[in-house]
Amino acid sequence: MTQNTDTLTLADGTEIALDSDGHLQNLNNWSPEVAQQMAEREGRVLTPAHWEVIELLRDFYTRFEMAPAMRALVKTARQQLGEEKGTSLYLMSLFPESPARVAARLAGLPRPTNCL
Amino acid sequence: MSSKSILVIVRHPPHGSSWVREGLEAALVGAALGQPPTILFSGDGVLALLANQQRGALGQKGSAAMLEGLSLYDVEPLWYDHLSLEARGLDVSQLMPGCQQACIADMIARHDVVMSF
Amino acid sequence: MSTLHLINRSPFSTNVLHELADAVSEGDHILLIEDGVYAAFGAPCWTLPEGISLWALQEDCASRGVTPSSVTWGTMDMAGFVALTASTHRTVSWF
Repeated sequence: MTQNTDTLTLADGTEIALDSDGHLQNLNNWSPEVAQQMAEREGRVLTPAHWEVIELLRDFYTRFEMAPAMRALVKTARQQLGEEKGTSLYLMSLFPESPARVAARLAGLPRPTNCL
Repeated sequence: MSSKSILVIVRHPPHGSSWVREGLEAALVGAALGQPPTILFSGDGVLALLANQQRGALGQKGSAAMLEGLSLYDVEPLWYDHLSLEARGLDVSQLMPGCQQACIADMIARHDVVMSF
Repeated sequence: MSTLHLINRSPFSTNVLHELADAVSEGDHILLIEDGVYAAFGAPCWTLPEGISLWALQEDCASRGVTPSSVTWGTMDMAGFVALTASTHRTVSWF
């Protein structure tokens, strides 16, 4: 079993278990409120542009059963959201540090496959 | 550094073991490093390309969904060894989209490094 | 630009040798190691194209009491194995 290292507490008092990387232990526990809470703890403000990418990731995971690494995230953003948003620069501006990793966490996905 | 061409050969069927997923993950590592390898399904590996696969009885992930995502990593097409397909009484119409016919001997001869799964 | 193909499983428990037959090209080497050396008792029990060199690893033959049929199979020791790995362009493992 994964070690329970951290929890998020939702408004109704539900406790959500996170793993040592801050990802959900049970992916079914995701809700927009979970993403919101995670973002707040990390000092991020989620705008509609962020939500668009989070939805994109959740859709990717449903279709391909893996979280995209950066290259695939950029490519899928270009296909689904258009040329302007399908660049690593744009994604970096929304999710500084590592867009594939940070956005996957907020979207309730496991770590991206082979995110190096 | 001159880059070497890499061939990933998948020779095991999906579902019964994790060989197919291991092979795909190796291909994804290559892609993440900017060197998308060629991927070839041979022997029982061609069975991983069958259309209409589902999750395992206990909800385990197969490899079919991942295979459909490989093009987003520029790992495409999905090559299959045509003799292996014929030997199993199958034809390309029974495979998922994005598959192309190859001959394994030619594929091996055209790459610098071969990884077998 | 030849390929070294390694077989480490008994030919009687696997279909790998038939798969291999379609995958070799002229100038390639096939080396039997571990349980693969049981394929070396006689002539190959599968059809190979011309121009393929066939080897069995001496150490693994000795430990299993296998004497390769000298008509078809050459024997090679570990040092030869290493040298062959270096002199061929690529290696494929047929586990």
